[in-house]
Amino acid sequence: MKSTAKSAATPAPAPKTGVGIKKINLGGIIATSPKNTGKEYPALPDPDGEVARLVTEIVADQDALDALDASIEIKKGELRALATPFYFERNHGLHEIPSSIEARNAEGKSVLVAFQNRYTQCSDDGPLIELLGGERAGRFFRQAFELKIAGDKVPEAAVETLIAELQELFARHNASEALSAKATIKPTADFHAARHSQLTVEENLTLEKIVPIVVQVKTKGREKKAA
Amino acid sequence: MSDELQTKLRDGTPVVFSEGVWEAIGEQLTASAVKPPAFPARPINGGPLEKARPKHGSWACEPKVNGWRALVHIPTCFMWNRHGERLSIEKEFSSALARLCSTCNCQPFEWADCEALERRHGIGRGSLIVLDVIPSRPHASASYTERRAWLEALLAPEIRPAAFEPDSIYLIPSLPAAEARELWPQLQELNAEARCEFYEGIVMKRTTAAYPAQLISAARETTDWVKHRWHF
Repeated sequence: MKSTAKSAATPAPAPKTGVGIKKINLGGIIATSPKNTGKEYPALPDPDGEVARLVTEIVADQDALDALDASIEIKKGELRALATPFYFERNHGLHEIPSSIEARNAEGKSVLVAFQNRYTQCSDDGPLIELLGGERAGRFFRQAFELKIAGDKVPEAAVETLIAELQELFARHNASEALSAKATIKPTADFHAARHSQLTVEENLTLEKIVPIVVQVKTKGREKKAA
Repeated sequence: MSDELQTKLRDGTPVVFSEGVWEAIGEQLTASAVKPPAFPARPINGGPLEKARPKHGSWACEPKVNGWRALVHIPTCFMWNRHGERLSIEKEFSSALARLCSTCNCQPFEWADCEALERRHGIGRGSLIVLDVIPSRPHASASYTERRAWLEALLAPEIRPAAFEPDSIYLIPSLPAAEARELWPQLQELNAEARCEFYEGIVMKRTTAAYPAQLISAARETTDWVKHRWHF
C-alpha cells in the first residue's frame, strides 16, 4: 500500500447563516421504524403440496419481477439523464414550459419524460442556501409541515377539551383552514392479541368481512431454509 | 476527548487543559461541524444475477460484503452510518480508521464509502473495506473508473475471507461486468469455505457514472448501481 502527502487542504464547509428559509423548530418529534426480528413462525400445513407450489411460483415470479423492475428502472434512469439537461437548456428563458419531453424510436413509438410541478422532499436547507444564496432560497422555497396527533394516545377524558381548545387556538390565529381531522374506527391496543382468546374462530372470520386484518405476503428478508 | 475529561466537564470539575487537550477539543468541534456531503449510494435491487436482463453501457462488478455501511471523513477519522448519523461503535474501528486516514489523506476526496466488519460474522473484525469515495466538489463528476484508479493507487484489493485480518483496511475488488457470472459462484464457494455469509451477492456499478451523491434520503436508490443477491 502506498501513501502520499496531501496536496491541498479542502476548505471547511461554510457555517449556516440562518438566513433564507424561515423554519419552525419541530424537534422532539421522533420518527421510528419497525425492526426485523428474524423470528421463527408456525408453518402453514401443506397436505397436498399446494402451499409449496405457491411458494415456488411466488419466489420465481418475484425474482423475475425484480430483474424486470431493475432493467426498466436502469433504462428510465438513462433516459432521465439524457432528457434533463435538454429540458433545462431548451426551456431556459421561456415562460411557457412544456410539461414533458417526448422520446421516440424508429418505429414511431414514444415515451414521455414528464417534468411535473412536484418535487422530492428535502429536509436540509443548507445545500439550497449554499447554491442559491439566502435571498433566492427564501424566495423559491419555504418550509412545509404537517403536525399529526395520535388521538388514541391522548387521555380519553382530555380529548374533547383538547380538540375544542385546538380549534379555538387555530381560529384565534386565523388559521382554522390549516386544521383538519380524519376519524376512523380503529381496534383498541389489546384487540390483536385478545381476539384469539375472547372471540370465537367464527366471530374472527366474520370480522374479516367488516374490519379485515392487513395481510401481506412478504418475499423479502426470508433466508433460505433447509427442507 | 477522553471519558475522564468528559465526566469532569459534565460534573463541572475544574480542568487545566494541556495543549494536547485543546487540540483534541478542537478536533472534536471540527468533526461536529462536518456533515457527510451525501448518503452512501444505495443500489436498486436487480434480483438474482441469473435472471438479470442485459445491462447497456459499461459496467463493473464488485462482491457485496455482509457488513455495516459507513462513511469515513478522512481528515478527522470520524465515521457515520448509512443514515448520516455518527457511528456509535466508532472506537471498535480506531486502528483501521487511523490506517485509512493516513493512507488516503492525499487525494481529491475526503470521504470514503466503506463496509465496516464487526458483529455479523467473525471475519476481519474492526476492519474497513473501501467500496468507493465521494469526491470533493472540484472532482464531483469523476467517473467510477477514475475513482477506482485513485483507490487502486493506495489500497490493495482482497477477496479471500481467510485473508481478512482484524483492524485492517482493504479495497473491494472490481471486475469487468463480463466476469460477473464467474464471480457469482466463486463468491458462493468462498462463503462455503469461510462457513458464513461473508458475501451476499454482487453489486454492478456503471463505470462512466459519477458517485451518485444525494442528500434527500438514505433510502433513495440509484440506477447507476444494481445489487444482485442470492437470498432475497
